Amino acid sequence: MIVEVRTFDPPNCTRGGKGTCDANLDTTRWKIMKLIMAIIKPFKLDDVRDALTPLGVQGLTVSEVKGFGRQKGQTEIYRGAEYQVSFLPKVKIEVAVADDMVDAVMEAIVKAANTDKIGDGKIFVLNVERALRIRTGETDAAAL
Amino acid sequence: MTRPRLSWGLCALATAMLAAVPAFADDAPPKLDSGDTAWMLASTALVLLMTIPGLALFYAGMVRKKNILATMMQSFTICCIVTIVWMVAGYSIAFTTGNAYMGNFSRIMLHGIADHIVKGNDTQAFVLASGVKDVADMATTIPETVYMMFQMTFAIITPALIAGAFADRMKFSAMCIFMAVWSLIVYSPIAHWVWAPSGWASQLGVLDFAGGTVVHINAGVAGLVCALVLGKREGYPATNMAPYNLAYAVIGASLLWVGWFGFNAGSAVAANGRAGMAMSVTQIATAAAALGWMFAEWISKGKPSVLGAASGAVAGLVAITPASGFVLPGGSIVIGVAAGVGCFWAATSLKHMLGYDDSLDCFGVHGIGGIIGALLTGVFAYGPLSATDASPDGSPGGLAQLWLQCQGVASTLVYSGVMTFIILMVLKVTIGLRVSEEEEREGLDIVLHGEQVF
Repeated sequence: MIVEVRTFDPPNCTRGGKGTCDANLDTTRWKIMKLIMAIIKPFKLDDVRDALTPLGVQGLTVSEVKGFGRQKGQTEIYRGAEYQVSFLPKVKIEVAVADDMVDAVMEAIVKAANTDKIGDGKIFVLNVERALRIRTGETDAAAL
Repeated sequence: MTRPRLSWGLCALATAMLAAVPAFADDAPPKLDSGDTAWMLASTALVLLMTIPGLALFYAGMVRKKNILATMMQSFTICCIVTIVWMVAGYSIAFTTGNAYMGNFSRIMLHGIADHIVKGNDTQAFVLASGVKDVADMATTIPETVYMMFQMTFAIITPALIAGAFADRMKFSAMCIFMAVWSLIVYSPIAHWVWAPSGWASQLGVLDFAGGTVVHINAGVAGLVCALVLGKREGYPATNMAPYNLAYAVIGASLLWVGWFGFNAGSAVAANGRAGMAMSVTQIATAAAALGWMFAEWISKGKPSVLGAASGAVAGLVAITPASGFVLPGGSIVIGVAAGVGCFWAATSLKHMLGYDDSLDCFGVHGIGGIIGALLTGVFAYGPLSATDASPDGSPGGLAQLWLQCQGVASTLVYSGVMTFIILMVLKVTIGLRVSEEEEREGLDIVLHGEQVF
């Protein structure tokens, strides 16, 4: 299965040292990195993205996935053949941030993606061992 | 016709007078009509559109993603194979005088079809002699090439319909050979029986305007036999085999619908009122059938499905096919509703009850729909539509006609079923019919053709 992956940059960001991307970088704080993986309902993607931008999130990756949790699937009928389809379309967002941003980002995602209905999704936080920006070779904190 | 007797004295004068009078119809070369010819040229194109891409899309839209290309390839390739087979021998077996069961070989490789062409134009229209005393010839007003081509498009779509029964699991090589042989020894003879004036079903009086028996019952029962001989798809019926792209199926069904005007109205072999009536009843029956299936599904399953509406329309098209040149609009509504509801039942309930895997309902729609239409033709036939000089009352519906229709239906079912079985068994023991289980799981697109879509 081919997964379409899109990445976002925050506005006003000019990569290459100038602009707000690297402004006020204190790389000593950014030794610990986390990957926040959020599975949300597809129509909430724009809301979540808009909520993350003001927090200074530099970019994120989105993929279209299928899954189920407590939300039940539906029944499809084709010429009398009934199929129980349990996998529902979802969107997975992966954003790598410094450890001290994790709480703020999680809170923002929850506020933006919540609909108070079953199937809103889940957030997982994973450790990131190393990170590297391919174009410049910057590592770890500077790569985020 | 008898010449009037004259005294010797007026013989010379009479001879001179007779020479000036237009020759009797039996002696004159059959006249061409450019209006009829133009319509038949257009009809031919419409009927070909029914197969490529009409049927190709209709079927491909209903299979799983991994088999889309392979399914389209079946329709496309059958078009190519049957074209050649028809040209080489199929046309000759179907539409030369021959005997009651098959034609002769006078038109092998279409030999002689250009005999009447002078200065780029045919000098006479196509007439198919009955070869039997007191049985009228089939006279047309179009060139033989046009008639041959029109019939070729019918010969093309009939085997393409069968592919719906063995979708997702037949070997491409086996399919190619099967189709070539089937077209020659099943399709052409049955076409000859029903449509050649020398054919036994035609002489008996079986009514089939555009191919209820020749095309749909024929393909339907052949499909059923294929489904039974090849066996069920791997994982059927528990695995999810939902259609991947019903949008294709709707587009395909729509192309079939429009193309069918060439199929039915074109079977009038003339641009006249009969063609107009055929077109009218085709539209009415199809709409009635689509609504019939849709409402039947709405009531029984709770939702009217898109696949159901499209399938109902196709069922109506199938059922009105044998009746199209014989019935009036009132009868066509009944035929449409009967086909819509009947085929809905056959494709959803009957199939699951009996447990065979007729993947795309070749028998459920074409077989059952064709039987419904062929039998109801015997009920609703309106005499004047089929009246000729030789037969001024035509063939009106009634118990007698219904009995004749039963005979036509039964003989098609038996001959097609048996011959299809034989061809399949020969292929089964020689090159094998089905792909292996792993190949079926992986998908025919990659395995048979090395290609993928989406």
